[in-house]
Amino acid sequence: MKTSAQITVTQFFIMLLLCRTYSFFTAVPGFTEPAAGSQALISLLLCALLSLAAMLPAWLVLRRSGGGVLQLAYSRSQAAGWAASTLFGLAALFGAAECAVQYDFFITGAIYPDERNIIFILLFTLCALYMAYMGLEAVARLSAPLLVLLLASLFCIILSLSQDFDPLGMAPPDLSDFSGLLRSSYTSFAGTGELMLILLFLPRLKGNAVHGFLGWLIGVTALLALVIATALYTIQDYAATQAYPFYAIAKTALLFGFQRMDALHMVIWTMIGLIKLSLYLYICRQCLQNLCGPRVQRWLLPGAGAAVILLGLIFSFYLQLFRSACRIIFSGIPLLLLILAVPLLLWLLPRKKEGSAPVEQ
Amino acid sequence: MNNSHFRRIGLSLCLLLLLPLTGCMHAIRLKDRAIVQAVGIDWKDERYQLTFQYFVPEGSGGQTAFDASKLNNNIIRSSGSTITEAVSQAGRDQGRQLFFGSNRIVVLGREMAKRDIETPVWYFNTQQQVSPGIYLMVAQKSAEEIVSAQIARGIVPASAIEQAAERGRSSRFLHGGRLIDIVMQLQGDAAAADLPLISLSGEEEQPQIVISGSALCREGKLIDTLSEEEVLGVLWITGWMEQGSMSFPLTEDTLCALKILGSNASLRPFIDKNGQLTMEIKISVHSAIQETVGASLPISEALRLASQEQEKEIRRLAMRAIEKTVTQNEADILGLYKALRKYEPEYYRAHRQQLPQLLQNMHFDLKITCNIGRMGLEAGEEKR
Repeated sequence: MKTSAQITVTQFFIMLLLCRTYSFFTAVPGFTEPAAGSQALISLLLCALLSLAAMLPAWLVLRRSGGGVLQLAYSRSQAAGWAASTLFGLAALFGAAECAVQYDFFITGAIYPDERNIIFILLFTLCALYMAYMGLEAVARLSAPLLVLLLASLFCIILSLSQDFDPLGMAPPDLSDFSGLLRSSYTSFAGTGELMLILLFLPRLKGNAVHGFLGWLIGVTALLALVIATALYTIQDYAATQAYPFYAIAKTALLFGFQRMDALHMVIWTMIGLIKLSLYLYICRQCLQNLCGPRVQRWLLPGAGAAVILLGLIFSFYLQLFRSACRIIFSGIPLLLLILAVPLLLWLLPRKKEGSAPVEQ
Repeated sequence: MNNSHFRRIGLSLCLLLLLPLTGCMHAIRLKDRAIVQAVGIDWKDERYQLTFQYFVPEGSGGQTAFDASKLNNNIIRSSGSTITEAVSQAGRDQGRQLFFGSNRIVVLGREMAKRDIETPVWYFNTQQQVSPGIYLMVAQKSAEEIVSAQIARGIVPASAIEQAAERGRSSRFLHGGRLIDIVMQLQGDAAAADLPLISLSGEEEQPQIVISGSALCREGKLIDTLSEEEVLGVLWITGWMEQGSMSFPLTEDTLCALKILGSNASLRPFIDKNGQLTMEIKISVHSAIQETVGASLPISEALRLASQEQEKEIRRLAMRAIEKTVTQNEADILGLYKALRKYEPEYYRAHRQQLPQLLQNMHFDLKITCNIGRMGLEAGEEKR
């Protein structure tokens, strides 16, 4: 089937790498139980293996059918298509709201503690809305230079912290509590919403998606392992006292005449956060297009943006509600439902002879 | 009207909508801020007594000009049952909001340090304006005396204190001292930290800052002080010693000064079959002979003696540091627990509740390698 908006596999997985890094850097403190010390490195590896195992059935199913999960659903029946579009649309909506809330918590927690949440959620979402409106190709083109910026900033941080390198910082991982380690790895896997995006974007990718996925998995694991190792060898126990450990690393690093570079990192992370939010908004619109008639097409994206702002404001004001929602997310049930249960169920359904296709932009 | 026209109108409307949002963030003018350069915290009458040194330009003309030869500061004093209360009171009294983004040093008074160092440390650690690289020090007497001293060096007096600390760090007679160093030490199993000890010297009209050793803290309280020699021993064991110098006699008639070009130190625990824990401390140092005073010696003899005497001196300093920190005060600021956790993790986990007892029964095996690689420009006796 033809899709008008297409990007290369490399561009797409660079975007996903940025999204995953953003989630890691701005994870809301106290909502998950990440592994501490060198156990975090083991947890990363286990999370990567879990991701690989969880995506395997979906890949086998979609390889046979061709296209993405929504296309598969519509090839079975209209009802299956609607159900899949609704599920993925709601998931994308929540993912977008979570992204906005994460950004808001980070900014009001670490940078502007005296300011109100509404201004950040509103502006952040409006900017991402405009990016989603400009289209997938435009956002994808921004990703590569942003990745270069991110890697350059990480390099500068590691370089400036190298003089504080302490070989005693990295102790062997404590594997006596293996169940705890598995739990933190599973929680980390449950928060990897990017896996859902892969199933949705497949029809829009030019190139070998499997190679891209494996490259993404290895790249993310290596990058985050480097960041964790840097923290262990340099600031060690200081990171444990900070709500946003990587921001603490960025604050500590003083490079040549530039001195504090946390403002620079903040700008880079804001841009990465905008890419993540625009991706989710884009998917949200795609799902809504499948559910709504042609007359409301032009209002779908603003509608999705308004819903994200509303949800974001509710979550930022009612923290307990956000915690409850995150508890559901980190149980892993939504992710496993979307990337495992839905493709397998669709595969079991008989193929419709004249199935209707989802609406393409 | 085509689509691009609608897009331009839409975009312009969006940009116009953003203009009213500029009032949503609370802005404070520079003149309404007190840019704090140094903070002193004392404990008096069961309350926190804070002293702030903040920047006030004393210019020869114009609002933005300031004269670097003047002192350019004012002092605020306030008190409170908590540090937050004292900070708020200071802001209210001055009618300005205190800004800690340019704060360079925090000084704790001696009585404050004896009572509690953790409360001030965690307060500044959780302030988002405060850089983790600020220096935390303990005053020989009161913090107010240090912070309110009008030291005529730098743009503000706090610059002089910061420069003294920077010099100490780079010349390696100061161990740690930054907020991040102290937080890392307090977070460790030892919960022990050393903070630079600071005092004033010189005349009252022209005070000077002196860093003389360190304040040794355990379980959040000042328990003892380290002399400058003991701090040197700590620097050798922790591998911090770089770019310093050492002077000692080679013979009865000859003195030698060495410039330290670099050093490495490593800690490695060993447990023998009887369960005796020994910490092997390997120190290797690379130096150059800077100066010899007195009777000249042949180069080979000078090198041999210098290497030998340097080894003896480093051993003496290291043992003094171990005696003071570990043996007398059970305060591990040398990284012994971390070495145990890294190299003997099973032993560490099994004895985690009895770590102080381990310190008391720990043996130390010092292995020092001194390499003098350069002779300087002066021709030796053999060449003359």
